[in-house]
Amino acid sequence: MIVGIPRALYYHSYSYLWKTFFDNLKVEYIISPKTNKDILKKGKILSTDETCLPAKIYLGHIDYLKDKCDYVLVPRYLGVDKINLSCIKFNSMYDIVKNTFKNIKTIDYNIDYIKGCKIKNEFIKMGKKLGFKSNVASEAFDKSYKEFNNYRMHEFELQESKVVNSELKKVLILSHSYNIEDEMIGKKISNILISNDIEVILSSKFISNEDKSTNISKTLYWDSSRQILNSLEYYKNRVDGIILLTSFPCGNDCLVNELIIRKLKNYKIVNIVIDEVNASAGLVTRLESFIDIINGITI
Amino acid sequence: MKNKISFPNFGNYHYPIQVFLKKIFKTDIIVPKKTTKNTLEIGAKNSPDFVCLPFKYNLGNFIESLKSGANILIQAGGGCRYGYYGEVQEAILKDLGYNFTFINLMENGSFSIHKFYKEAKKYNKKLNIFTYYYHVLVTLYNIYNMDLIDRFVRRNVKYELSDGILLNIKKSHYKRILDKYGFINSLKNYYTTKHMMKCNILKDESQDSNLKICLLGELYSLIEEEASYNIESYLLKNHIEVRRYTDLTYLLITKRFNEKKLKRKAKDYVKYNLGADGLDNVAHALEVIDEGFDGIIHMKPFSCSPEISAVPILQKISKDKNIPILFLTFDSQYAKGAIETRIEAFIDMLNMRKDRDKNE
Repeated sequence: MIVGIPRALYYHSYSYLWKTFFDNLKVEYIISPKTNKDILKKGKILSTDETCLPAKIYLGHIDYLKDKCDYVLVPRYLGVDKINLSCIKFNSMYDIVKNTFKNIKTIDYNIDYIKGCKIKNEFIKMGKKLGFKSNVASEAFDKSYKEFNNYRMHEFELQESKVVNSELKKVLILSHSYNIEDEMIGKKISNILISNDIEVILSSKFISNEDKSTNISKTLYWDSSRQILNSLEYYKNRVDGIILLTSFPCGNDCLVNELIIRKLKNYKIVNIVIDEVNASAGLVTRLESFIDIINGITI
Repeated sequence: MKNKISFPNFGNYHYPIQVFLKKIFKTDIIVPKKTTKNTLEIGAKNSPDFVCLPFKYNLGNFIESLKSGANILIQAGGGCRYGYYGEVQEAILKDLGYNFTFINLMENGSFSIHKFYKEAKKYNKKLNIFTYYYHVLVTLYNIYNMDLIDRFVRRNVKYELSDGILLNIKKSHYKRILDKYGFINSLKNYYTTKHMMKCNILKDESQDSNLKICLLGELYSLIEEEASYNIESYLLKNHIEVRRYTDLTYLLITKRFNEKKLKRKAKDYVKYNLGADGLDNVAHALEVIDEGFDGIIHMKPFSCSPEISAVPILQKISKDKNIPILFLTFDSQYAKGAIETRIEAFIDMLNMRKDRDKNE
């Protein structure tokens, strides 16, 4: 039995948890390759034209996986409570996949505060569907969840040491993890920055138990945007510039970014929107001029 | 300075809402100007690029009201992104240099009717909780009656004796809402209107074969007629029976109780709730197909995520059940002619389909 994991959307936040969970259960899995032009093209054809870019990419990945494995992992994520909701796209991703691909076999878990679906129970359910007893699945989950938390802590500390020790100019990229880590969206930008000798700080690696996002926004109810605001509060005075990275047409970002730009007037911020057109010349020009501003070059 | 309160336009519901606010706050109410092309232009100019259309209309309404002297603005919320409008709009308007107080009815991620009481108490010290909830109930009853009248008009417009008479009677109903207040008056008002309407229709069997179209989609495009270029009025004028589930009664009351029913209806296509009105639209589409409707028009503003999620599912339903669905997307480009042409073509197509089925 082979489980297919699409390398898109929540893969970039939960990949380590999924991989260790399946490793612990000794389930074979394959992961789709990094997003490339073919996957994007396929995703574009499969989805309605107004869908956001990460969702298009997601369908492309599923299309790649659908014949290569027995089950495709398609979780649904609503939120853990009333004020930590996910983007509305993830509420419906499961049903979109089911309706777009005929006869696709999926395994899913559903994190939904209204139904009281907790992450551990849902993973145990998923383990049962794969043919394991609940105590085996439970043990595997506990172990992998611990490792997952350690891994995230480790990543955060690594980034922290970068911020403290690096002599280079630092730029904070603020976005959702599925934008930052994707080859066709965020990686393009970090590669350009790194080749220009800039230290890249990523908001997706930040973890904290405190909620400081209320300094900027009081009525926010999306967990992913809250993570962005928290990391902004944490890093804003320790970096030289901030990039707000959005994929077109992200509903949450366009409101939250508007608020960030209006509230933080004395910081160097650039708002970059990426869409499915793959021309990098304009992007390079904008980033280079932003780097010039950071370096204090005036004409 | 005297307090002047304003709120964004929302279809015809500004009639009961302005009466409600007057009773609660006991100050002047500035009724938002009728939404026009100009409203959209002002709103779009000051909004983020790809925010959804209601945000732009609301912001336009606010700016117009502020220009005519309002100094307290009220914004509600709920559902998808709508709950987050208030905070961003406040920041934008403050940056534009207006001086005002903003009442945002969102609390901990949901729309709170009790928070409004606390806010209103600051301005009207004499208000107590019993009178407040009395006014809330009367207003809800008014809204409920309005929706009943609306549903009656949509169902019976094809039987009307002279063109446009039902819509005119509907307008007189709204005027009476402003004049008389209270449960009894609402009830009287409702029956007066209903009686007048019944006098002006004649159930004629030759009209029974008229087209039946269901309007689905995002709530603002459906309720605020100006935002969808008066599609509904256009259909009604052409004596087409229209079904529209989304109105304020549905959103505030019915929706809370029928998620299970909807899921049962849509179980072949949908497993989970799609967020906002996505699931409702899928289930309602299936319902009207069972009832033998001729076509469905699905409307949404650009970048409305819940409706975009519903689109692939509706497309599949359209293919499976062999029913035409017209998908319309609205943005800040004002293109009344283009939309009308598409609607006309859609109606022609439905008529031809109907004739063909009859001949076979």
